[in-house]
Amino acid sequence: MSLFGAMNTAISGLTAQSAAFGNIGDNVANSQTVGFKRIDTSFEDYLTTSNATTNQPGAVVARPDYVNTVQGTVTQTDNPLSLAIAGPGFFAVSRPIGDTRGTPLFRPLPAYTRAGDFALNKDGYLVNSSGDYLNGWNADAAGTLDQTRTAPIKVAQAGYSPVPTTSATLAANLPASPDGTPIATQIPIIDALGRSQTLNLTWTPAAANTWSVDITKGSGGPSLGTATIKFGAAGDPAAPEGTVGSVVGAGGVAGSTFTAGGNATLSLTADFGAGPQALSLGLGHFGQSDGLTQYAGTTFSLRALTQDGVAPGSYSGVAMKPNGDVVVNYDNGQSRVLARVPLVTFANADALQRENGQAFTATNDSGAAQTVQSGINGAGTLVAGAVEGSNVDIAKEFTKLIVAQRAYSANTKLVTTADELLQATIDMKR
Amino acid sequence: MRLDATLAQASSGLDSIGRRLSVIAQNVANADTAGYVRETVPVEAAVAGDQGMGVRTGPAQRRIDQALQADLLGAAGRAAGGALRQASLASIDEASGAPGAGQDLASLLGRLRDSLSALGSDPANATRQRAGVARAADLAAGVNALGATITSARQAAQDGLATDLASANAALATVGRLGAQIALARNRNESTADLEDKRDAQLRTLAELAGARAMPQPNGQTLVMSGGTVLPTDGSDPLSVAASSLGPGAVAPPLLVAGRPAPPLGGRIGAAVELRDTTLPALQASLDGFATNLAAGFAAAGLTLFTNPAGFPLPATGAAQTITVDPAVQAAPRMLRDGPGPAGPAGATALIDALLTGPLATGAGTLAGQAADLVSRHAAAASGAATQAQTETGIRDSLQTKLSATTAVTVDSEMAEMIRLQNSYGANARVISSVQQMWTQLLDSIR
Repeated sequence: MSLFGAMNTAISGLTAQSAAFGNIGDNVANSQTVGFKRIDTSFEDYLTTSNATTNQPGAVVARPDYVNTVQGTVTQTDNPLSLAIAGPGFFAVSRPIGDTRGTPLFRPLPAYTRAGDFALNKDGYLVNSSGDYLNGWNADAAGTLDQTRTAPIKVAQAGYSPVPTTSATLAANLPASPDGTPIATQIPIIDALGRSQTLNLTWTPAAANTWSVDITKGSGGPSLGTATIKFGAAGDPAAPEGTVGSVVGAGGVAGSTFTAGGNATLSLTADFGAGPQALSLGLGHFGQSDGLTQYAGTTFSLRALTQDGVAPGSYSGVAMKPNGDVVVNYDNGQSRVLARVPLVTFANADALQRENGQAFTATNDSGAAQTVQSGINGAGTLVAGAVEGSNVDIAKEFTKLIVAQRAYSANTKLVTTADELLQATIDMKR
Repeated sequence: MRLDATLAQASSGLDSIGRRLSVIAQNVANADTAGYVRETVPVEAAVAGDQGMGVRTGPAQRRIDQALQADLLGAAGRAAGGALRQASLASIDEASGAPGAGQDLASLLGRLRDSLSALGSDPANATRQRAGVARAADLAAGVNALGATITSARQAAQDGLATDLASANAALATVGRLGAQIALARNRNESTADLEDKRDAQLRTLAELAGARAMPQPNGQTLVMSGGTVLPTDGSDPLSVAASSLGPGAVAPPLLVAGRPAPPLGGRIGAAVELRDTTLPALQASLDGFATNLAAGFAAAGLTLFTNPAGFPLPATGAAQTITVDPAVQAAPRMLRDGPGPAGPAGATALIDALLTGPLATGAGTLAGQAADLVSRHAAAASGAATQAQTETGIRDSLQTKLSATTAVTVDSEMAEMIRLQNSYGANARVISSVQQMWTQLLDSIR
C-alpha cells in the first residue's frame, strides 16, 4: 500500500473527470449544431499488481465513447432542399480543397455526414452548412441512374427538351342514330421539335354499329390511313352493345386485336417534318365503356382527351423527394430526376473518424462504406424538408455534469487526505 | 422525449395553425366573391422513421365537383347563346309589330285596301287618290323598315361576333398562361387553388362565348375544345372572322379557328353564327318573298304599283329593302283609277275593283294572309327563342345553386374552426412555456 500510489490514482481520476468534463462542454456547445453526434465518456481502469494477496492501486483513464448511431432530433425546416435521415446511414459528401477556374477540386478521401441542410451554391451544387458537396447517383439524359458511382450533384439550369407524343387517348360517344354527316374531331399532338400539331379524325357511319374513321395530318392534310370500328353486336366477336368490338386498320393504320378487356388502340406513323413519329391512339378497352362508345344520341360528345407529349420548357426550380430523388422542375409542368441521394452505411459507424464540420471518414474499424438506396438494406429513410439536429440532450449532459463534478470533488478529497496522511507520516520523526 | 424535440413539435403546431388560420381568413374574406371555392388545408402527422416530429401542413386545396362544374359550363353556354338569340329575334318581332296594332304589315295592307275601297266610291276624288298612294307608300315603308331591322340584326350579329371572338381569344390565352402556372405550382407542391379559381372563371367565359369544354390534362393544364376542335391556348388568337358589312343577300365571311373554317361552335359565338348565316337570312328570304309577291300581285291586276326606287322591277334578294311606290304613280296618283294608260273616264272603277278582288283580297293564301303569316312567324320565332332562353337560364341557375352549395364558404363553420384553432394555439403555446420552465429548473439544479 502506497500513499503516493493512492495520490497518483486520485490524480488520474481528476484527469479522467476533467476529460469527461471536456466532452460534456463540447456536447453542450454543439447542442444546436446540425448533424452533430455527441461524445460520451467511458472510464477504464489500469492495474499495477492485483492478485489474491496484493492489490496495488492502479489508475483510471477516460476514453471517448462515440455514439454516431444515436438519432438526433429531426425538425422541419422551410428549406425544401434539406434532407434528414431517420435511422442509420450517412450522406456521401465531397470536401472541397480549392477550385481551378470555377471547377471545384475535391479531396480524394470520401467523407460522410448527417448534416442535411443543403442549399444550392452559385455553381449549382448542393452544399451543406459545413461546405460539403452532396454526392449522389447521377442520371443520364434518358433518366437512368448510374448506381455504380457517386459524384457531386450539380443542378444544371438547362431547358427541358420536348417529348414527342407517343400515345393519346380519346373518350367519346359516337351517336347511335347518326344523321349521316361525317363527324370531325381533333387530337393535339406534340412533334419531335415540340411544336403543336393536330390529327384530324373524321368519323363516318358505314353501317349499323359500324363507323369508319379517316385520320389525316392536320385539317385537310394527307390521309394517314383509315380504320373500321365495329361496336357491340357488329364486333367480331360480339361485344356488349355500344362498346368497341373490333378495330381494323387500313392504309397506314393498324388496329389492335380483340381480347376481352384489352386495349383498343389504333397505331399509326405520322411525319410532321421532324421524322416519322409512331403514335398510338387509345380508344379505351374492348367491351368496356371507358373510352369510345356508341350509345344514344344524335351528336358526337367528347368526354376526355389526353396525350402524353410535352412542349419544351425552361428551368424553374429544384426539389427533394422523400426517396432521395433530386428533381428539377420546368415551367411546362414537367419534372426530371437529376440524381438520387443514396445512403452510406457502415458495419460499425461508431468507429468512424471524426472530421471538422460534423463529417466523418471511414476507418479500418468502421468497415467499408456500403452505398445503398434509402429505406432498404438496413439504411434509414430520408425526410425531405427537415434536418437532423444534434443528438445532444442538454438534460442528460447536465446530469453527467453533476456526476463529473461530484467525482472530481471526491478525487480532490483523496488527494488532500493522502496529503494529510503524508504529513502525519512526516510528523512521526521529531 | 427530449425537450428540444418537444419545442420543435410545438413550434410546428404553431406554424400549422398559422397557415390554417390564414386560409380561414382567405375563405372568410372571399365569402361573397363570385366563383371562389372554399379552400381547406390538408394536415398530417410528420414522422421521421419512428419518431414524431410534429405536424406537416400541405398546400391549400379546393374541393369542387368536376362533373357538376362541366354540366354547369355546358348549361351556361346554352343559356348565353339562347339569350343572344332571344335578344336578336325580339328586335325583329318588335319591328314587325303586334297583329291589329296598326303598324304591322297586315294592318298596313288593310289600310291600303280601305283607302282604295273609299276611292272606289268616288274614283275622281283627287284627295282620295293621293290618300291611296300615301297608304301604298306606308306599306312599302313598313316592309322597308322590317327589312332594315333584319339587316341591322344580322350586322349586329356579325359585329357582336367580332367582339366575342376577341374576348374568347383573350380568355384562351389566359387559360394557357394559368395552366402553365398551375402545372408549375403543382410541381413545386404549392397551392393551386386560387389559380384554379381564376382559370375556372376564364373557362366559364369561354363556355358562354364559344360553348367550350375543358379537358383536364394529367399535368394540370387543360385543353379547351369546342365542336370537336381544339381551341389553342398558346396566345395565338386562333378565333377570327373577317370584318364585313352584310347587306341583304351578302354572304357572311366564315368563322375561322387557327385559319381553318370552324365547325359549329356553341355559346354566343355559335348563336351569332347561326343567326347570321341561317335564321336571319331565312327571315329575309320570307320578307323578300312577300315584297316580290306584293309587287307581282299588283302588276298582275294591271297596275305596277310597287317597284324599286328607280321604277324598275324588284330584285329577288333585297326586295324588302328596295320596295317603294312606283315614282310614276307617285307623280300621277290618278293612275290608281286609270292604270298606266291615258286618263280614263272619271267614274271608272274597273282597275280599283280588280285591285280589291286581286292583290287586296282577304282570306287564306292572299297577300293579307301572307302578311299575317309573316308577323305571326316572327312572333313565334321570338317567343320560341325566349322560352328556350328561359329554360336554359333556369337549368343554368339550378346547377349554379347546386354547385355553390358545395363550394361556397359557410362563415359560421369557418368561425367554429377558427375557435378550435385558437384553443389549439393556446395549447401549443402552453407546451412551449412549460419547456421554458423546465429549462430554468434544469439550469437551477446546477450549483
